[in-house]
Amino acid sequence: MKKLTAITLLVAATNFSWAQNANEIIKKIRTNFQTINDLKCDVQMNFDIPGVAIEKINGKMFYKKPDKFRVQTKGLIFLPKQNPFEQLELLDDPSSYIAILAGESVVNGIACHNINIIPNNPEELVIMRLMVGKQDGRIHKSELTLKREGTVTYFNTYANATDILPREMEFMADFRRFKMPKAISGDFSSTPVRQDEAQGKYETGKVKMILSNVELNRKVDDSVFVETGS
Amino acid sequence: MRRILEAEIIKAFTRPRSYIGMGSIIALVALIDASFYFTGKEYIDLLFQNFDQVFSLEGTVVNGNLICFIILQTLIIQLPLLVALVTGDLISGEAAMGTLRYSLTKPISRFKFISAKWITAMLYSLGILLLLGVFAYGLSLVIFGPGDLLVLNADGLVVIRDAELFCRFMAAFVFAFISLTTVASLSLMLSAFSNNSVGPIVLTMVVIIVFTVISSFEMSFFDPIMPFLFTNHMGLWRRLFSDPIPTAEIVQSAGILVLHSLVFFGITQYHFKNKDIIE
Repeated sequence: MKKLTAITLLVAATNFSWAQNANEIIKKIRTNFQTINDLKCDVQMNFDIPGVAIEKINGKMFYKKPDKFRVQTKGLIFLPKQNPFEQLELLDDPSSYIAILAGESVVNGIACHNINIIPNNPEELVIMRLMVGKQDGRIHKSELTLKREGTVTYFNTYANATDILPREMEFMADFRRFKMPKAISGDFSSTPVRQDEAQGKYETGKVKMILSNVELNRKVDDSVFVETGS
Repeated sequence: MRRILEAEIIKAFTRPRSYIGMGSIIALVALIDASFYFTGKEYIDLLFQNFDQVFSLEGTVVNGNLICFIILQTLIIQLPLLVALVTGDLISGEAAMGTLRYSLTKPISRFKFISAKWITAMLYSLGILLLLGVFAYGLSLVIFGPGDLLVLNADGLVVIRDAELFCRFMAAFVFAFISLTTVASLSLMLSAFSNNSVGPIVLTMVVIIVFTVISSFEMSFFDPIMPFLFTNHMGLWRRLFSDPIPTAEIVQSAGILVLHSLVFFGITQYHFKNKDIIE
């Protein structure tokens, strides 16, 4: 009985210490994010989506707290359903989640702590796993498990050791290739859909955003976020 | 030759039926423009509802270029029927009215006579296309403005930037003209074989409808005959909106269509040269 109590106490103490460690790591990310209120920068959007032919395009990216995000370009673009700052917005309120240290990993050659974030009131987000650099305390990779979309992944690449914001954000998600019968699409000249081996399989689509000329905390007007397209 | 051609053009363009096709194009373009103006977003949302789960499409999807593309896609199948309505009647209509004999009493060769008819058919096809170009491209751009084109193919999506689209649309209209030339030549050929005006028009329509229906079936049973259906090659205009553009494939299809036109023209000339017009 004494042994069992000792083991239970040890496990509880370990969990408590992991949670405490995780919260300490998160705290640094949160502190950095709290310094950002408005963001404006140039962005180059690159797409690698199976079944979608689209060239890269340049534009402007805007972000304003608490949750306004927009990429403005002269042409059509594909964006992740989630605002890329959504994960940081969630971390901003420590009472809304539980953070647990869940091992270590290496992302792009950088040693990272794995931290699982479990929302207290899960709506769309079920769990988020952050890979946070041991040295720099910045998020290098995040995996979000969502109820509808499944798992989506962000890779962050930073230009300088002191940068708070990544210079490259790459979004990856699995989805079923867009297919349409010829009779509906009116495209009688393409290869028949039945001859396409990729049909029905899940494939990985990527959207990479390369940021430059970042302007932090220079007031961004709300009118920027008003959608004009259809 | 010039006088014969002038006479043929006047004959073709003074008939009320020549304006049925043109009127329907204007009406259809106006209807499609109006429907997209009021409910375009719903239509696009419906098409992309599956894709929309992971990625969201940002920007002005419903724009003049998309409307023009949709109009082209919708009308490109019907356009040959409208052309056949006029070109299928060019010889047989005269045979039915009895004016063919009268026309050939003049000192002109049958070759020149048929050539004039054929050029008239080409000019009518060109007229129809110019009208479509002005209304489908010009009017849609005025109403909806420019923007990137989102092309929905059976095997995926292609986004073409606005700056590239003018050249692609012009090339598509040239390709459509080559396609209509084939249909006009076919109907003129059938017209040479008939002495009533309805037969060649109906027969041309039947050929186009049957070939198009077969082309749309994705059954392996039809694979061996697919390359021989000229309607399959007519659909290649759409490949001008691919990325990259399969130039060789498009040029080959255009060549096949031109070859069809020349064969139909040759058969028409051969048959008409030996045709008994006194019957």
